Amino acid sequence: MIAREIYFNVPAWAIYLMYVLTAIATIIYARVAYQIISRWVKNKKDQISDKSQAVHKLVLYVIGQKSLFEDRRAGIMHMLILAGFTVLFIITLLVGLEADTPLHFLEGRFYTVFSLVADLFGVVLLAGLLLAFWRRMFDKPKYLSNNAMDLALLVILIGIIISGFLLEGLRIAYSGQWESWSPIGSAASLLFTRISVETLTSVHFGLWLGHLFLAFALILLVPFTKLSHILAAPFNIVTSDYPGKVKDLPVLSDIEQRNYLGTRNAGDLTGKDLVEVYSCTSCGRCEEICPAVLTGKQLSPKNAIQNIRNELNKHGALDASSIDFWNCTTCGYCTEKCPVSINHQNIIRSLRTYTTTSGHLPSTAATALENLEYTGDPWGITPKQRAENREKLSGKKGASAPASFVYWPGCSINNDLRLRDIASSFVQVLKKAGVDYDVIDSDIGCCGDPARRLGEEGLYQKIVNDNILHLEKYAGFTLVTHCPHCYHMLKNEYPKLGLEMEVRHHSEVISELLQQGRLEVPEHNKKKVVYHDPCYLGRYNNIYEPVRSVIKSFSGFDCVEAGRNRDNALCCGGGGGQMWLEAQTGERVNYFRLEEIQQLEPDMIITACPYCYTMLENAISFKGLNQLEIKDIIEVFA
Amino acid sequence: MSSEIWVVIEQLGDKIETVSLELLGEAVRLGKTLKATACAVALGPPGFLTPKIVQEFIKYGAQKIYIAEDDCLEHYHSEIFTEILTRAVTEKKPLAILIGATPNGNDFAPRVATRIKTGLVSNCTDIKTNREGRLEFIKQIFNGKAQAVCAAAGEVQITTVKPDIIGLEQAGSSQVNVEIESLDIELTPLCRQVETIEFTKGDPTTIDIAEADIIVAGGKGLGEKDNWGLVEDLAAAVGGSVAGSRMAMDLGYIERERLVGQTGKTVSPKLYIALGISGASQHVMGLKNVEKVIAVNKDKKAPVMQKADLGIVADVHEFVPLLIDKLKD
Amino acid sequence: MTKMLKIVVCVSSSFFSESPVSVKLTDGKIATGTKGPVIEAVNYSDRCALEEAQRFKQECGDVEVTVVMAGPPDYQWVLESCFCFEIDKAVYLQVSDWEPMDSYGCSLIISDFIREVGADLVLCGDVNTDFESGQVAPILAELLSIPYVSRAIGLSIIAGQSNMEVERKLTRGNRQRLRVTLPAVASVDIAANQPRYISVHSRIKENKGKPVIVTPIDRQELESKFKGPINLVNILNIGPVRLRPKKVAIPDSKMSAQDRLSFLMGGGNKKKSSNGDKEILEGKTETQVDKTLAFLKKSLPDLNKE
Repeated sequence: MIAREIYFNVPAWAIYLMYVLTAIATIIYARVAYQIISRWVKNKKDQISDKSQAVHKLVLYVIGQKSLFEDRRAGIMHMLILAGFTVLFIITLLVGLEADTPLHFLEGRFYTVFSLVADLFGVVLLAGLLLAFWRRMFDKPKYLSNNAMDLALLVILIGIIISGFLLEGLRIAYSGQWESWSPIGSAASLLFTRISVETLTSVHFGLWLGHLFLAFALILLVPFTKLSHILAAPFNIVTSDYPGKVKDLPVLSDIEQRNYLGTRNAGDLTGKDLVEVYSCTSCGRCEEICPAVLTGKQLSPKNAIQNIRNELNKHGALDASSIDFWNCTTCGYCTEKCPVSINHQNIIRSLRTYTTTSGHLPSTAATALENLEYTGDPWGITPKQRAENREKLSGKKGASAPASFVYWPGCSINNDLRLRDIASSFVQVLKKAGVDYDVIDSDIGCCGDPARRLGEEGLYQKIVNDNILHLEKYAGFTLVTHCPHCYHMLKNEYPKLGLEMEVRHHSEVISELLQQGRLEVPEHNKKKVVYHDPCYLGRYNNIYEPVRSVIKSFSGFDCVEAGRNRDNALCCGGGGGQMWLEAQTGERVNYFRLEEIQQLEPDMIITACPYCYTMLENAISFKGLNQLEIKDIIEVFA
Repeated sequence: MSSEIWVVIEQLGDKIETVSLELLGEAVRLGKTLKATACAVALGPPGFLTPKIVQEFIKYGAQKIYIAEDDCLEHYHSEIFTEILTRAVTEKKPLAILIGATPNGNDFAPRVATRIKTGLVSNCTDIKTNREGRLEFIKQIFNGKAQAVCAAAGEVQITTVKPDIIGLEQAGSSQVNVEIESLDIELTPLCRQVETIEFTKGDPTTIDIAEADIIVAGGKGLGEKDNWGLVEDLAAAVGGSVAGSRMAMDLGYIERERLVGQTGKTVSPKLYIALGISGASQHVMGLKNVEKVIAVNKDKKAPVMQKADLGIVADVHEFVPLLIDKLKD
Repeated sequence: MTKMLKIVVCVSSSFFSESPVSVKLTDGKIATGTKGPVIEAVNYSDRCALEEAQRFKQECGDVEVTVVMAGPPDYQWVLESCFCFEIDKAVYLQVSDWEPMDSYGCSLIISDFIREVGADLVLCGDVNTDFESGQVAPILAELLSIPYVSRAIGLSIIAGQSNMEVERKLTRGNRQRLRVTLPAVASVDIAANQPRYISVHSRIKENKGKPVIVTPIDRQELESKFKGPINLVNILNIGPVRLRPKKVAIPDSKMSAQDRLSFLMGGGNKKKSSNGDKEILEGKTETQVDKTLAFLKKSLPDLNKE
């Protein structure tokens, strides 16, 4: 019966050496596992993990590698590696079982199939690794960092496979028998036909030791390099929300009882954060459309995660000085694109939370926060002034719940006259369509988004709790707002603190009214228009179509798509509190985005967010492009 | 107690602070009701009281001048001023002392008040007399939300009054000379504990725009970078400081320190000249308590025209050079 | 060898500029009506003083910072807000019958405390924006018989030496640099620094590390020692703002005919109204320039134009 001699030509001491190395590896792995598990338990209340649909996520994203196939070449390359590696790993485990337990199954038919599978998947793995090598050294995608360690790991892996095949060849050459169930090994054995037995055995053993060291080098490097993703990433994917969904920071509970908020030491990172940090492969997808990276700022989501990884074992305060977290616009691109579901955004923002709540934040932002606390508006607009503005928007008396809307204008309209046109246009449209509506009264100013984005968690919770109390009188109404930041807050974050109300964005409402025929499409000249997707409507809430369908209903409009659109849209640069922060280095994000849109030579840019409107309008004004119009989707109706 | 109302004059070189002259007029007014004469009290280095300055005092109503002249009064010195004034007040016992609410005025006034055991109502906007011949002081509180009428205990009354509130009023006196009396100067040990090392006069071209009295600001309407010289030339002509809007900063005409607006500086000059600035709310938010705004813009409907006391619809490139020429005459 | 530098910072609270909406005097007590979110906080220039004290702590090392406030009951929260600055002690001098009170009375209470604990440097904010008196610091200096510097923007103590250099901010960008012997009192101008942000969390967290020491002050005792009320200023009445019409005179006898005419037609007096008399000039550039010159002469009578 065909069987396989385990440890052919390997003396006992070498086997003991292998066990010693295994023990060392086990201890190291156990320590890391302990670190993660203990932290998972300790900081559980601050962590967001989502075990729902675990099997679906496992099949689709871990096994199916769905996110990686967005870049076809990468997808194929990594699938080959994943498949090859997984199978060979199982093979090795089985060999281990055979060697160290009373079980015996590597014989007969089972063994031939086993051996064939091993050989074939060895080829698969090698193919994947060679593709990876080619991609890294010759194709060189822009965002892929390439340093000595990356190359070394690849070379070690290739070395393990090739040495594995050579060892097989040497063994078969020694046995003198052709093994058709080990085709590659048999082919390799042809290299060694002329060599004497003594040379064969010594070469074999030397190569075996080499193979052993390479293998253990790899095993020992896993916890300390990007290869940790092998263990961490599948776990992370299964315990995160789906890749491609941006989730906001957790609401910190019991803040009065904490000495500080946010991430100050490595010890503040939750177990989930650690898993995320270990899952990072430095693939660089997060940087591809990151506004900070594109405009030359020091911030990079990839580097941030890698820097934190380097800090993990330090006890003192986290050295966050290399992470330029004030430049994050919270556009969510990094989180959405990450194939292993890392939430870079939240890890970076927690650093902001600590800095802000301990008092050190840029002065323009501090002024905005103080205004927000004292007047309810980051621009310092008082309740009295808000009341005056809202008078002009006042709705039909007698609007009643349910099915009626209550319009939440947000804070942006109070500051800028041009933005007020958005609000008044929306109100006019509602009137034309015969929709009952009311307007939020002046007790409520801002939704709290600036506080959240700038990291002032205490102020944020205060504002939200106050607003929820004020909103009680609108129970049963549907909130509608033109600002995606307010929309995201009201729809996704306020419910965490108790709000129970329906929330819609004005573009959804308009789109529905058009479909229902309650609105007439006004005449318009022929224009080439581009729609700029707002991050908080698009990536955060997956709303891409309503504005597009409205644009398409205008016969005169020729709607073209910006090169980076929908979930790949480039941020305007206004989010994340950037409105109140002064970018000190690099280019301005809004100018960059405008240049991109300008290349299509449109007549008009359509936005659905007051921040986008302001940022792009500033850019247009700066560049002196007087012919280029910019309008909110609702103003197109006016 | 003599029936004199003293006004402590603040001057630098040959320039008398406007508020001191305003208060002389006020002393004359109060003096009519309280039957008192207005007196100017001036402290300075030897020879500072020139005939020209004496004429100014007389023009605004001073009927007597008290003077203290000494090298130690070269620069403002808190303890020396306090000591001299306290001595004089204790000896002469005027009815009231009016002081301009300037950095120096608000420095020594509380100290003198404490030494003469009188309450001080500072930063007033108006003074009234009551039936008992005592003064009542009016000041704004809570950021101008309300006005408080206050009275203070103490034999000699003392107050500091905000500049540019009362206004200048000449007394119409035909007097050519008035009595000038010297005050005693005796230094105490406390005087030697403070010493002026240096005094620097602010140069409008380099000072912080938040402190400037006159600002000339430019915006996008200037056009090319070469045209920015118009802003600088006009500023030099009126003795003002250069500032700009967000556009000017983005185009590289000014540094961040000269940016006026929401993300820049808040300014409160007496005169703000806006050249080629549209007046977007982010910019206009930086103007706080500006006395007068002049705006030059091609567009009559520009938001800045709403804010300006004098709006000029013209092309800055035509208007400004002509204005500069005429100013030079 | 440097001895420990003791700094005492005097703070107060003030309303945010848009609040309160109404102010009334009832039975000698000031009642404020407010609308909207919370509006009282540590007075801004006092925060600048605290930040200066912090700067000393970081630069000079062996510094002890004590924060003190005198006030009625229920205002200890002001001192609690100061804990986000690294202060060593916080003392609240509580006077149960606080009103009527003025700067003098307040300084009297605080000076007793400072005499007791001893200080090398007393820092106060320039002026409290509610009452705009700005007198606590100079009166403290008088009561303690130590030098006083106002409008300080740059303070530096040479470690070990017993004096400091201070830069004073005057109007029009003028600056005066002084050498002052310690102990001394300095009032800090808002241009001195950017005080750190006092976050909501730092105010509401339970573990602030240090307690606020509340010392009750017996007003009756003070007044019997002082032989009279400790406040020298009394508020008689509070009402809406009514500015006296401002007089405008043209000092230059070389008035042009145009100016003289408008002066006479205007009755010689011009009301200073907040709306102002706005004017928009169109037409010939020459005329515009002439009118502008006239406007400039009227607006800036003391301007010395070349």
